[in-house]
Amino acid sequence: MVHEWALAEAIVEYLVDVFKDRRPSSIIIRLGELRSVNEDTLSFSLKTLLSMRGFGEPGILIERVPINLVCRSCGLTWSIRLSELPEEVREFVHLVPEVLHSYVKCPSCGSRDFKISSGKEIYIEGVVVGE
Amino acid sequence: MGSKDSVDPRTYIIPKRLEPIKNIVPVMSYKGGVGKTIITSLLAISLNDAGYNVGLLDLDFTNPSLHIVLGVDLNNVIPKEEKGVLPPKIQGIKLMSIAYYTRGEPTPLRGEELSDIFKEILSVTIWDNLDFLLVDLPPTLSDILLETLHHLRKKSKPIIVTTTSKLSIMPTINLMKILRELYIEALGVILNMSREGDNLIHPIIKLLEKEHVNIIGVVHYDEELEYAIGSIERIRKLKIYKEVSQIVQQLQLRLSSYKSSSLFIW
Repeated sequence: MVHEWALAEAIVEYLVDVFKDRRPSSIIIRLGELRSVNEDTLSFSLKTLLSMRGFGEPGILIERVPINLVCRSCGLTWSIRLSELPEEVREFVHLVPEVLHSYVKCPSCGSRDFKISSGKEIYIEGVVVGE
Repeated sequence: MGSKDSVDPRTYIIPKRLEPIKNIVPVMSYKGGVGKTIITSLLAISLNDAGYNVGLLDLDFTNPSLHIVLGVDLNNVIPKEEKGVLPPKIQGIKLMSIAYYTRGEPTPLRGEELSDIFKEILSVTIWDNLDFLLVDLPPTLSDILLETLHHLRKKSKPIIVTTTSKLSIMPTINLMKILRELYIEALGVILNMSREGDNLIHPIIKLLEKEHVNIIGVVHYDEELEYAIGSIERIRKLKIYKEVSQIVQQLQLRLSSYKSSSLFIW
C-alpha cells in the first residue's frame, strides 16, 4: 500500500476541495499501466480515506490504459507491456513513469526521445454525485 | 492522455505534502554554470550542522547532481515507500532526487514531461517536519522554475546565485524583476566564484545595489572544491564551506528580526 495510498490521498483532497458537502456516489479513475497500481489496494485506500473524511463509500471504477510510445526521431509507434521490463525498472517507473526514457529506446532508430502517448495517466475522469 | 474534462488529482495534495516544512528556499539562477548545486549543497550542510532539520530537493531532472556532491551511491540507496516516498537521509539531510530512479542513465525530457515529474515527485514525497527545504533548480526561466514559483510560492524565499561575469549579472537583475512582479521576496543574491583581487566585484555590487538587489554574500572560487565533491566530511573542511556558513549566520541574524515573515525561524 505504497503509492496507492499517496494517490488515494490526492484523489480525496480533490474531492474534498471541489465537492465539499456533496457526496459522490461513484468515481471513475483512469490509470496508465506504467503506474502498476493495484486496484484492490487503491479501492481500499480510497474507501478508508473517504470514510475518515465523512464521504461514505462511493463506487470506484478504474479504467486501465495500455502503454503506447511514439518515437520523436523516426516516428515509429510501438507498444510495450510492463512485464517486458526488468522488475527493478518496473519499480522505478511506477513512481516516475518518465524515467522510462532512461531504460527504453526506440526499437527502430535507438532514440530515447520518444513520447509516452498513453500509459502514464492518473486522471479522475468523472464523479457522479447523488443517486 | 486525459480528456478535457479529466482532472489530475496530484496538484491537490502538493500543499498538504509541503505543510510540515517551515521554510522553502529555491536556489535559482537565470544563467547556467554559476554553481547553484554547490551553493545549495553547502547551504544544506551548513544548516544541518547548525542543528536544523534539512531537506534537499533536486529539480534538475535531466541532470541531477546533488547526490554526486553528497556522495550517494545510487546502487545502494533507494527511497523507502510508506504511504508515499520517504527521502533517504544522507548524513542527516533528507535528499530527494530523480537520480534514484534513473541511476545515472541519460534521460531526455521535454517540457510537459518535466512538469509531470515535478507534480509526481512533489505529490508523493513525504518530508515530514523540516526547518528548511533547499531546492536545486535548473537554470533559466523555464518549466521547472515556473512550476516551482507556482506551487511553492507561498513558502518560498529564493536565493539567486550568480558569478561576477557580465553574462550572468544582467540575467540576475531580470530574474529579480520577475520575482518582484510575482510578489515573491527573494532572500537575496550570492555572488559566487569570485576571485581574490577581482576588480569587477565593486562595480558589480554597486550595479546590483542600484537595482535594489540585496547581496547576501560573496563566495570565492575554491580550488580544493573539486577534490571534496562526494564527501561531506571533506566539504566541511573547505574555505568555501566556511564562507557559506558565514552567510547562513548572517541570514540568521537578519531574519531573527524579520517580523513580517512568521514562516522564518532563523
